[in-house]
Amino acid sequence: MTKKKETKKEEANFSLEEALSNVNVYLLPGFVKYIEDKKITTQKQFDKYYKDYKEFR
Amino acid sequence: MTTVNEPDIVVTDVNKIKTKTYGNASKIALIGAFPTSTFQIDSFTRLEDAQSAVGASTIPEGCVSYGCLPYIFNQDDQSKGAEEVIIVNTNYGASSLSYTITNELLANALLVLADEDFDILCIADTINLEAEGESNTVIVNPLWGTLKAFVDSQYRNQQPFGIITAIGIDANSTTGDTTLASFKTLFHDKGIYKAVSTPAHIKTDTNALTLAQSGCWHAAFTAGRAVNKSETSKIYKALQGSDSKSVFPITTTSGKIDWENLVDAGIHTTKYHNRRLKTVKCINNMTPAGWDMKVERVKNYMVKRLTFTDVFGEDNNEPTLDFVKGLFEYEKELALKNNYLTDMDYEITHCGEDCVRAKLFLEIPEVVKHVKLEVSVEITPYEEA
Repeated sequence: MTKKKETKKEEANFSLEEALSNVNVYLLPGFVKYIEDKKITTQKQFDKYYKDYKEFR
Repeated sequence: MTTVNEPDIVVTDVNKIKTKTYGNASKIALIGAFPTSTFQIDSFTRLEDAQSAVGASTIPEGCVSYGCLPYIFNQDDQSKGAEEVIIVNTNYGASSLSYTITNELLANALLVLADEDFDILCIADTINLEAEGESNTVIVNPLWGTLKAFVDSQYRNQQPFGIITAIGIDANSTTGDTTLASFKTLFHDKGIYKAVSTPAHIKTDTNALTLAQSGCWHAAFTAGRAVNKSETSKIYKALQGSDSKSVFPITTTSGKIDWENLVDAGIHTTKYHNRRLKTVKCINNMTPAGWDMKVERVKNYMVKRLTFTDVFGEDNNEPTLDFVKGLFEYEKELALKNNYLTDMDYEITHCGEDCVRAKLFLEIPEVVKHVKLEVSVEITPYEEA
């Protein structure tokens, strides 16, 4: 499978709503604001942003 | 050895029980990163018990939270201190101990705390105002957003509380005033009682407390005072410093923060009442919501006192509505008698087969912050007696 096809498959399987349903309820409002101007189309991208957001101190 | 029939006296140490009087909302929840992974949450009324529960044989140097404990249990002539302190450990279950509270660790601790009853939330650490976002941009530290989400969620569940904790503000930051404005917007309706910007310096100590310890000292101070007591322009008798006007001096550099910006944003600041005697007072106890802390505390206190849980499981009919009305009337009478409110109005209706709706209107007096003294003089002619 080519890389392009792989990305398309990942995008097709990704649902932002579903991904957000696993976010800690108290991180959720801030995280939604944090990613509001970002185009997230794959789980991998989502995980990266969520990891960054969780690591703030 | 005493025999069974011999009269004897047995003395044992028990936890201190404080008598709760009207107007006290003095339970503190403290979140910290303590040097143990086996302790998760518990309630304490004595410092020694808390120290032995969350401590270790040697306290690591970077463990800020442990050093905060004596101050969260502080009490003095002006304040009775906390009624109890519920401590949550962010290191519970960790494979390696970390003494920094990340956004994730904070959010997990809040999940643990959600079912607890407390009035003030304090973090045994300093939460910076600013954090570095993507591409070197500066944003309001997301930990504040997490705390605000918790404030809103608890308020919705009739478990209102306010935050008193240390806020780390860099006086040299060139983005400070923008971030401060965003912080004020974030907490524009509720949430902050005191965001402590300036270290407290206790009279008997050589050095000032750390900012994290100062946040705890202030949490205990406010907890031990009635909810209708403002700290605006009041002297902290136990303190000899520090002066926010020196820590955050007036600046004309664009973007930087000075003490005036802090006061306007509802951040807690202090100044000398008398520099020679080293007496310190709160400049203005206004919160980011734009009103005095005591207004927010009284509002939360009134909301929390209405024990609606008593009507769960009762028939949704007139006698139950009458019971709810009685509850409101009782609270109104008490609050008016004690001068916590100037008026209270309410309306109770059915809103479905299993639902009762109550509307509450509170009139809470603000505190005096301005005095206008008009002086006139008349020169009288000299007259021989």
